[in-house]
Amino acid sequence: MTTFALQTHSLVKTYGFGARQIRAVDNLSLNVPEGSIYGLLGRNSSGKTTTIRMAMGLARPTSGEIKVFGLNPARDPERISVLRRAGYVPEDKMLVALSARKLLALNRSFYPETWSDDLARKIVERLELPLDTPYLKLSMGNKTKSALAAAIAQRSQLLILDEPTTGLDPVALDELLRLLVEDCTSGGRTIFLSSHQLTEIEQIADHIGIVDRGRILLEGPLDDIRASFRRLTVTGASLPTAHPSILNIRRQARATEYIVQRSPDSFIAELTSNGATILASTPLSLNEIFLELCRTGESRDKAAQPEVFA
Amino acid sequence: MNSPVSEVFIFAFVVPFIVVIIVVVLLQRKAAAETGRSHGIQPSYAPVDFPPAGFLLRRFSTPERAFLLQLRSALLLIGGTVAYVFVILMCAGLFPRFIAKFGLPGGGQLSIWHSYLFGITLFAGLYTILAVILGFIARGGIGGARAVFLRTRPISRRLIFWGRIAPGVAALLTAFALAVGLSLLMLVVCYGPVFNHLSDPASQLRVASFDHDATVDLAHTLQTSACRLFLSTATTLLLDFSFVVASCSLPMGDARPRSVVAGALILLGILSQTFLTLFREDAPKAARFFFLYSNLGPPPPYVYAAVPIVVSIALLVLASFFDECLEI
Repeated sequence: MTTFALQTHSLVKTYGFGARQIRAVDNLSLNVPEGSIYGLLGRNSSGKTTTIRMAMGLARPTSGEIKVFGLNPARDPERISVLRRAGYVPEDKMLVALSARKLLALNRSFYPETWSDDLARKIVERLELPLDTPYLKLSMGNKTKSALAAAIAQRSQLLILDEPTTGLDPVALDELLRLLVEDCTSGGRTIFLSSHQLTEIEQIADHIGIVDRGRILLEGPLDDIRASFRRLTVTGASLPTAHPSILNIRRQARATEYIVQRSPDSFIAELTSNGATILASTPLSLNEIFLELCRTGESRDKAAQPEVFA
Repeated sequence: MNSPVSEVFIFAFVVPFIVVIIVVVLLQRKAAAETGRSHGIQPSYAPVDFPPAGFLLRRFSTPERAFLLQLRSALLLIGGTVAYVFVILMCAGLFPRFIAKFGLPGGGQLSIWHSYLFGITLFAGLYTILAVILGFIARGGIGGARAVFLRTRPISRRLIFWGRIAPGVAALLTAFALAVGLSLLMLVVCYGPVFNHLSDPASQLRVASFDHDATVDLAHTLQTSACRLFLSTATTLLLDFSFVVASCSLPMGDARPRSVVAGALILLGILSQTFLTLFREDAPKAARFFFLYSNLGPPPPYVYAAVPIVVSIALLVLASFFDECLEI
């Protein structure tokens, strides 16, 4: 049976009142399996950070529920149990100590049972983190590295990273991804990271969730998602314009391009049985899947809006 | 800037400000020198051992101790600075130039005692400002970006709140008590026990023979109990501190409207207090109710000293409750 490190059910978070109310998270249901590297993908203001803040007890759900290891992170003393088992790198990499060395020393004292000095040393060396540079003089990349070093070295069962690649150069980014895969997933530990840097997520994540405007568009194992999406270039008469498998259709000069979201093989079989010719069938990259889902969601929202006549 | 009041102000605020700037510059130079020395060399990480639990912190868990120990040096620095300012302000009336300007004419030891008491009342507004600043500092680490770090460590929200507020209250009242003790000691060391000679008829006659104002001042000096001033100042400090903490803890969604409402409330509170202090004859019941006696006069009904204490405790408990609901 799959156990989940983090689960949300019909989670809603609103800010403001009346006409100014913003629905930051809208009926969101996520399932983050224990031991997975879960990438939460979404555009700006899609609700990723709000969801993470609720998981860390910094914000309270308006309705629905969020559970971390089956516990409510909004209420003491369950919140404390959650925080004992969760490491966190916030979106705003604000340092609370005068230098990275002091931040590591401070965080070490909060997690005496799980903290690893060897891992801290390894991260400092591999990310080339300047330990004694005053906080005010640190670049954005080095602030990110400091926050990451402190969170990773505490060796929590769940590591929650909100935009962990902010300001990192390609070398540091590569080292970080290696560190996450090599040192943070052993012993059934889970990584939950949010980003809109799809290329990096694609390299390490085994589960993804795509959110847009607070709603989940897609969730599941990355391999299954890749397998279920296909771009088909088709010619033939009386091609279907609506089908449960079709996500998007583009008419071209001599062919029709289908973006297929589920059961591509049975859809291909159906097309060929109706006399269509498949000119090309190519898998989609995560980036393409993301773009297709967001664009389709956007156009559906526009179509759903009532027209206003002056 | 030639009056004794200006000199006191310079000693109390400008001198520590300059000292702080010098210390910051020296620390920055030291840090820059260390960075320069280690330029190009990758510094190594060496773990720093956690200090063992002292008697007071033994009952707390390790993360809780880490949080409380982190506050210790800040508490000593802030408490020390506040105590220094209080000592200077409360000793102001003992400066010879101050006695010459504000003492009773021809009053001898009566004059010194009057100058001492008057000095305490003169800076009542500055005590309020100190309490407000300390309230902001204590509350500051509970909201704001820094609080994201603390609120995501395995320590309870209640400890984060009281761990900053209780030492803030303690620092404020201890600094004040220390200043009272030191100023009285200074008075005795410099001028002897002047308060034992208030009933000297010769001095009283000399003062009364000057003019009507001197006679009124003499009457106030003879009526005034130091206890009235000290207790009223202490309860007002507590009330101001608690009011700031409660105002800053309002459970409103966004940070900006919260800051605006809190700022407006604090300004209103300070203005109300100033009005009650300066024009106490216009609202004697309100001033008595909140035990606001930052002037010379007859002994007040001391039972009312409990009111600001109870109100302060209620405000802090309310702030703690608000803090539980606060999203950051």
